[in-house]
Amino acid sequence: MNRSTPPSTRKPSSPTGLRQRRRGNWRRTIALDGMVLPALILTIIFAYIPMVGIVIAFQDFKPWLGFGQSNWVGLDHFQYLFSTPENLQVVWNTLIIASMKLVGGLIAPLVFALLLNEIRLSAFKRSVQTLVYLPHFLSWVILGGILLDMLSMKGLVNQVLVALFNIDPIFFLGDGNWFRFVVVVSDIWKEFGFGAIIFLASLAGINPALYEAAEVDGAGRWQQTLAITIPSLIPIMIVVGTLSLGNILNAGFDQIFNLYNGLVYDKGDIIDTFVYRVGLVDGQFGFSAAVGLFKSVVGFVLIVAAYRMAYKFANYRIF
Amino acid sequence: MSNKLKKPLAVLMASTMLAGALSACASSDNNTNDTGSANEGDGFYSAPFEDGKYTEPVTISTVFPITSSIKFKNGENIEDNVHTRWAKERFNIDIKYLWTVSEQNNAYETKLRLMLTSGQKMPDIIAFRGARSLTSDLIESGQFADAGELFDKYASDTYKAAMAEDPSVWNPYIRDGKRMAIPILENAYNNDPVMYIREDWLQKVGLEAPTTLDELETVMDAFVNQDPDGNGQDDTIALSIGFKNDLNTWMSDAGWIFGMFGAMPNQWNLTDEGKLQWGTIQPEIKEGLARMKDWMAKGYIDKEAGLHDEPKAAEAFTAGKSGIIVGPYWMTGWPLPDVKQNVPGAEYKAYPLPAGPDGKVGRHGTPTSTGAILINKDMKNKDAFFVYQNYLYENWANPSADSEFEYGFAEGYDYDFGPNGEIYREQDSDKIPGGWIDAIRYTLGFDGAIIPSLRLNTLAELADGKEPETLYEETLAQSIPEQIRAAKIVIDQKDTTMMTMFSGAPTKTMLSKGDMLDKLEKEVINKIIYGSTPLDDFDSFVERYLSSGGEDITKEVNEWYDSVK
Repeated sequence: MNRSTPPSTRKPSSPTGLRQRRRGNWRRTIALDGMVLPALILTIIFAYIPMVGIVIAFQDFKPWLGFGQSNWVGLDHFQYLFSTPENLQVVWNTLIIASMKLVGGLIAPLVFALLLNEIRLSAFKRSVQTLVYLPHFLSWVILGGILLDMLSMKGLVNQVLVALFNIDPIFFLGDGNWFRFVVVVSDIWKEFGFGAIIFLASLAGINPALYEAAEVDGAGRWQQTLAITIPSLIPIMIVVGTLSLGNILNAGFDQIFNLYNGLVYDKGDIIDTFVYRVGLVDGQFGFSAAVGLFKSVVGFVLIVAAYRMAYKFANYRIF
Repeated sequence: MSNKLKKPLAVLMASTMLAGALSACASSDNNTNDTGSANEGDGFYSAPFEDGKYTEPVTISTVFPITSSIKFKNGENIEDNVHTRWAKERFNIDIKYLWTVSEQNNAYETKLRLMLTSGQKMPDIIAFRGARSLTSDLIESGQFADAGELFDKYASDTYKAAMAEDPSVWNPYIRDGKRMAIPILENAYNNDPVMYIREDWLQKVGLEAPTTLDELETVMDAFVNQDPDGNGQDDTIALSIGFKNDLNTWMSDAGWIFGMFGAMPNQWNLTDEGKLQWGTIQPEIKEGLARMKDWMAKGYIDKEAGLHDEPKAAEAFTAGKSGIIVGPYWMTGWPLPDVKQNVPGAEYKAYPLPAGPDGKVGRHGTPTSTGAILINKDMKNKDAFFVYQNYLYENWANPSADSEFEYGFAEGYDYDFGPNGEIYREQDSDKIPGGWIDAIRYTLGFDGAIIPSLRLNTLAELADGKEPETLYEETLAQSIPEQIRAAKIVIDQKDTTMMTMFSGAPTKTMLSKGDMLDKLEKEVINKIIYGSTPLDDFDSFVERYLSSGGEDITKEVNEWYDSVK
């Protein structure tokens, strides 16, 4: 059977009909549109109008001169960002840490949700779920202090490692490579429980009839997972993955800021901590705005690209 | 894009952006007083003045940050309280607040900046403590008077003497030879470090307190290897330092290690040639680093000292795991007493900083001013501020028995009398109706009037056995005994203080390259101390530092220094 219906048969036959239907739609939805209006106005005021401030990325911005009087410097700030090796290193650190977090932050909650889904004892399942998402609500200021103690040379982690493997204590927070590892793992540990909620919700939404049919066909748990559960989760994985791509240059300011130190600057300093020091501490608003703009543009491009790819290859529309 | 196009666009953008923010600010009606014509007869007072007060009301308009430590009672607020009524009664001065702001997240600074960017009329006086760049911007706006000239003309002798204790307090505000703001003075020596040692550990290992670097190393070795806490485990360190932020810092300080060799890191030092140089790149630093590297390798300092900030490093001392810590005299109040709770029988004592191989001792200093008062050039009665401030300097800063401030600023606020005439103070807050309120914090310069050296000098005199005479002395005599002793050591070693000599606004290259250099410096210093790069890397670090902006900064800083000296 030819699935493509000729377009003309689906569209209203005359322009008048089209107009009528549009007017009808408009009447029906006016109340709903009205409800969106406050949110729309707020978004315009607080998200779009301030975007005008982007101009300071191209200025030697002085607060007391304002946008109008500050000198224009063109692309100088961007040139400085990309011409000094120290600054490029910061961009690289951000990319490396953020992409490790992104991948880990997608896989860990997924695996955890799948495992938790297999548990039949609902009291146990619920309490585990609550316990693992609690760390999400802890601030990095507190966790930073806890990690500093836990990971110290005489801390709990090193005591266990030394006792088990008879190795020298590891200087987790003072060695650049270990530092990245700690940052990524602790972030995943903190957030995987919270990330799992969305997967658990979509697991609950899978039609049980599919599993029943599979059982009749003689499929085991493993086969059911591969053939039903995972394919059903792909759309939500794409959504989560796409949205987090926008954060590819957000490596987590509060975490790094609370954990880093002079010994790990070369591997641990990220764009956000850099902007904090240059922009807020040193008051270089123009330069920090330029870095922020660069971050936003990269995030925006990636989201658009991921969205298109999801549509093209997985035939899935997020928005 | 042509210039013609750019400007209107930018103006449009600016006005859109600022419109909301500005409407929030109080409207700027610069309330000039209505005292009529000034009394031009004697040329001193701008309005008729008799018996210590103006015969006609005089107005001072200002703005004020209400910090979290400022409390009110009896339904008062900053516009109407015991202080404003006092000013009215004592001098016939009306203090008018154009706006006040609850000081959170630098709200005061932000509001001042907005006031400046929007071109509002400035109040008569602005008192501001904080980012030097804002003070600079305010001065550059051209709306403020030559405060130094006014100070010379109107300030009383006590006020002038207090200001003369350290003339460099003016430096940040000097423009073309004119002193454009009056520094707000604070207690001197407040953060100058002394060395605290666990007295019971010294006795246990049978050593005297160290006076030289060699003796210090002997003591440190004993503290690490002779199990001074007697728990049978090798778990003690000798010296608590934390250089996550800086080597030269406020608590758990390491600056004195370099002071023994004649340089102070993380600040601008005056060299023998009379030039300013950034301390961390001076050759003497290398010798200090060599010691620290050695101490790190021998376990005298914590393996994680580079990860610890100041309070974190002090924890080892208060937990009884470390024997020496260097910091200000007030550490005897916090956090040091904790060690006595954590370790029964723990005793600590303050000692002078030890001398280096050439007999040098060096410690960082405490700036005696962190803020300033700006006076509007259009202020009508500029003398009124000085009438007010002189009075506080004469009567509040070091009150004599006949001062109205003998017991405090105001009865029923920061002191009160009990039924039998006994005095209630902060510690008897529950006995004062409405609680103890620190009313002096309402004053125009935030803390009334402070003579910088008075507090520490008085403590040192008390330590020498002086009987308290004035009430100020009596109050101080009630301090913790160890604090009085520590204060005396601070004063005894005051000639070893190395002040940071640069107090101007950040220079151009500092702004553009400062963070990069700072990062480079921290990285190299840390790696040398940890032994992951050889000590000789210090030389190449200095070269790199100078070539990637350090040289320009040094030049700019010295230009500034030449302009103020």
